[in-house]
Amino acid sequence: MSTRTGRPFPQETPAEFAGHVEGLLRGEFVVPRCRPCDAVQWPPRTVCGQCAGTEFEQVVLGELRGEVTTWTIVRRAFHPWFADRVPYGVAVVDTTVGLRLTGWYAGPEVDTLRAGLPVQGSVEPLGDAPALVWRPGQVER
Amino acid sequence: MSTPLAAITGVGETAYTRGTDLTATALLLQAGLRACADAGIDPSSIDGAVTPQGKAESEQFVHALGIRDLRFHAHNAMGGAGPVGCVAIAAAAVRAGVAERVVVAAGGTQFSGNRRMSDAGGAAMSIPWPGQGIRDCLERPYGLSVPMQWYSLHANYWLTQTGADPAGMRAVALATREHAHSNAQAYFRGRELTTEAYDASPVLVDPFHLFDICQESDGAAAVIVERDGAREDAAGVTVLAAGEGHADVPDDLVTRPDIMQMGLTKLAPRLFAEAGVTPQDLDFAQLYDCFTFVVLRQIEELGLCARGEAPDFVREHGIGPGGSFPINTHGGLLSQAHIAGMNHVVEAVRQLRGEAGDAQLSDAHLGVVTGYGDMSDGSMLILAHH
Repeated sequence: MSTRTGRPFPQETPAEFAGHVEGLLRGEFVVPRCRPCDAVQWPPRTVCGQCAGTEFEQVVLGELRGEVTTWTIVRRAFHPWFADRVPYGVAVVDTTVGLRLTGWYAGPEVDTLRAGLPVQGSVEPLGDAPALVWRPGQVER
Repeated sequence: MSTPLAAITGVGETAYTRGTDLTATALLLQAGLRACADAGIDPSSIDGAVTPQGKAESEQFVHALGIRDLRFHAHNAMGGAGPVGCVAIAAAAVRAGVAERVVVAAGGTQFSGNRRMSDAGGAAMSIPWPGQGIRDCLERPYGLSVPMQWYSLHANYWLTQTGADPAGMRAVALATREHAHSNAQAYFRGRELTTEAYDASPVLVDPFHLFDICQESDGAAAVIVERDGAREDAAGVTVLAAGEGHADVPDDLVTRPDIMQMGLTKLAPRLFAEAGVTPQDLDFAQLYDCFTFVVLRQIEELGLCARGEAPDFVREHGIGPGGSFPINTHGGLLSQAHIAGMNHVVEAVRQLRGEAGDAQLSDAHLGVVTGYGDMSDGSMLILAHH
């Protein structure tokens, strides 16, 4: 983990997370998919939970939409960068592609965060490092 | 009831403080020696040692206790579920015959150590946890760095999905504080917690008020585990069943299919079946209480009531002094001390022996102790009066 004073962002990435973190730096949300069986591993793992495969290809998620499954609103931070941003929201979203993804909530007011809220995601700068950011939006069904 | 797994024949505690010059190892060894004295055994006769990972090397027990022949040691790594899980390891070891007399010690210098989780400067960002990649890449960059933040994701889901009454959390905080007034080791003894004070306390993370969150402490506790019936004269407490449990995705709270699943979800029915008792048979429970909501969720996963109904259970039964289902009669992590839940084991043994002082329950024959840690690992003991 970074010891810098900016927003925490992984500096030494575990091998299975490298594709994801590199993707964020390009502005993309990347997940590993098992080559033998096509099962997406989220969170990333070194061994596929479906077929025990160990080779993965990195897949860009083009669509980041879903509904908030759970969330939190932090009102006292335990890190200086976040202390300047309280209260801040974090949303856990069940996406249309079947993955449950955690990201920063950038709604108009943090208190608009609630279960079932339709959101759209994008990878964009947050502080001096990229992040998955959720905003209220419509889910296309 | 089933054939007993083992017996707990002695308990020991250091002082529970906020501030110490002692190391975690020194505290664990001191507690272990006191447990030997309480058990009435020569410390050199100990032949097994079990501790949570990183707290004390078994070699140190050989030195400090003068152990003649250490033939078994083990460590586990389940955070707050570790100490109770260590007792389960010790019980299995004596049952299997690989050791006869095992010291189990836990605790540490959480308050005085060099990385306090409540540090505003970000010390928690560098504490090692299971699932390190998940912590470093998917949580810490989003401002989730301490258990209160992680567990709030579970708590908000539980409140939303079940309609559970959030006032149940306050009820746990107040009842636990009431118990603490009867315990000489309790940090918050004599300091009243009122509904008004709870409600006026800051929300550190939704939905947790300050008083829903446990303290950080220095200290250690230990127990001696022997084969049941090994010594006729021992003031033993019988371990009917002991074990650990893990959620389907044990290192990530949010991607497990059922967010409310915990290690205890699988563990509790397994152990009740093994012990041949039901949750309704229990006289008391000492439940890991890093947060008030974790107590409520464990009440539900133990099978005492349905999901979402623990606040009603607490209100209807009463878990404080004089209640029909007392929980954490020593004051728990919340109001006694954070000794990683080993203090819960000590209190359960004292209750079953009738040695719990001002907190002694009139009817304490069967009790349960739980541990809860990391990303909701569970551990549990079912204990009976000898």
